[in-house]
Amino acid sequence: MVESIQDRYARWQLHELLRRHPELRIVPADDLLVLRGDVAFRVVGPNEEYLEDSYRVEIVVPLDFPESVPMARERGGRIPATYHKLEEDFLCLAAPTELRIKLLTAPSLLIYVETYLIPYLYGYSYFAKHGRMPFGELKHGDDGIRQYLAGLFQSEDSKRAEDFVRCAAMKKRRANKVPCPCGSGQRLGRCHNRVVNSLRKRFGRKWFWTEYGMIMRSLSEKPRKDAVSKWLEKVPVAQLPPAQYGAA
Amino acid sequence: MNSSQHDLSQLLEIIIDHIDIPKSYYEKAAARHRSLGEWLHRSGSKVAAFDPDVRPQGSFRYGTVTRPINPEEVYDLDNVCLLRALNKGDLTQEQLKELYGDEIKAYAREHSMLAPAEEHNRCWRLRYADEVSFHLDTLPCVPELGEVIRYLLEQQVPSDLANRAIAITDRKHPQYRVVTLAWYTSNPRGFASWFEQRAALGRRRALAEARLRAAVEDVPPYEWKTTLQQSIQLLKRHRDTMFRHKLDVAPISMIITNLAAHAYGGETDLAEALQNIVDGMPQHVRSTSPRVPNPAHPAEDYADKWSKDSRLEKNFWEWHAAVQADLARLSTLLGRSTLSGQVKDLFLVDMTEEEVRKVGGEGTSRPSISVKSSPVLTIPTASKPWGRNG
Repeated sequence: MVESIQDRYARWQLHELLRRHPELRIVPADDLLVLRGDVAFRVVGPNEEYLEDSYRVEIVVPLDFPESVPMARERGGRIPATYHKLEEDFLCLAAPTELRIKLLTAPSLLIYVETYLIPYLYGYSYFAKHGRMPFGELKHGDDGIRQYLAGLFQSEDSKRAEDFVRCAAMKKRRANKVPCPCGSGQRLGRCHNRVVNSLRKRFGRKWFWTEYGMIMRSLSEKPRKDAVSKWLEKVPVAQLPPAQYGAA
Repeated sequence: MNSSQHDLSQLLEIIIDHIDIPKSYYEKAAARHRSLGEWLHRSGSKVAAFDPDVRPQGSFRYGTVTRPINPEEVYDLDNVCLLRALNKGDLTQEQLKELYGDEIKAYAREHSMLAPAEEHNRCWRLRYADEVSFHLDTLPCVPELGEVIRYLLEQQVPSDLANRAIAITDRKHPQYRVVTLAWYTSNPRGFASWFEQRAALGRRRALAEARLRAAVEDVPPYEWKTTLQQSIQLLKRHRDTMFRHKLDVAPISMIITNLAAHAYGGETDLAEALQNIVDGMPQHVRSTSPRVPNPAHPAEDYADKWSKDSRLEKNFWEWHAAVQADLARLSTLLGRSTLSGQVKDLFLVDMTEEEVRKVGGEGTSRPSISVKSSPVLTIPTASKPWGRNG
């Protein structure tokens, strides 16, 4: 049976979000859930550093959340475009794959706001005060995407980190024969196979296929053709799904 | 009742003072219905022989009218005109509509209306030229047949409601121009009667609490001002405010009225009644069609458009989530300096300074709420932000 909108909003913890952040208001919109208003917070960050602040934001939630992730904009004109942002002024709260993975396992708008949006806003308040980032930051652009993926797959080398996602989208037996994307020269079955297997088991090959498609679309510089990519191309790829977050 | 609930009720009453309409409007509306009824009974009326009976319907009957946000907006009056001496088999739907239409057109001419009577699918519309802009939708109908009433009784509709079922004309009916018994059934009079029974729950208790033995029956229901009627006014105003830029896809008043009356338990405290209504409404939305049935005619679905336009259902639930959160917020704002600003945001109501003082929001008593009451989060580590542009 198709889930009703009522049940969907309950599963997303919309009511809890509105209760905890009462300055956020639903703005009627046709095929999105749009929330606008102030997000206020009091945060004890790293090294017990306490900050309180409030930002005017707009959060746009696609109705197929968590398959697609929400997007947030700061509306008070405080955060400059040179800070961590995507196209159209959307805030870049985390690496896209990370956001998708985390929200898939916890599809809650309250978690989105309190685990991603508020730490991001706290991060900016902290940055404005101290000139540095409280939680570190990813590199911008492609390098940042790969840096996150390398971390996810516990690889030191991030040059071809997107290939890990592709391996996770392949059947185990096949993937194990592929040269390990960490660049060790070993095949995956003798190298990073455990972490790939466990993530594959957790999210499923299909999810990684979709994710791979989205990553390939968001990488502005496509990877060089080398032995690994030639090898990987032998594996049939379903049509790449459309990118589902702002940076299409 | 605790004191904060008392204060909240007081605040809600203040909001109602702003959104309510003068009693004279109700009186004017009642006079309109009476005047039309007299016209239909005058000698020379083509329908007088069929014993017309005009009964008000809609928010003017329920006592749930709210002032429109846009002052140019027109008040809707509704009534049902039952031709008691006619039956479905006596004439076609078209003949009834035109027979009645001739009288309505003549009425418009005689009473210097803004425009000639306007024909709609089921009713005729009159536009009054007055200091208060009204239009009146009047619905011609004949009594429903015994077999339809029996069918309603089988559907568990109480007999006092089922007996009020009517057969209506509809230009979109496939047999509009043919003599047939297959007219559409409707039951607005049954709904109104059911609504008044629900409202009476609160009225009886309120009168008992006030030790009043007033002549209950003498006061028309629209003057009862029960907590049900007041709650519906507040809910409708909240809806009007939230959807003021998208009124065409806002939750409709009939759905709000229906669900609120279902969820109402006769609470005499306004804040308690409103809270219970808001919390209880979702239980009365069915998961399959009819989603929001007329209790006096269950096949009649007030939410029939939800299946045709998914925005309508989505907007209903978003409105419900918003009103639930906003109600919780209002009670935390009592006595705070930001209260009147929030009331303005939620209801487009400008509280006077005196009203603000009455509910304890004198500006200095307690600080603004936003940051101080926001959740305290401990975030030792978090995602590293990324950016597209290097």
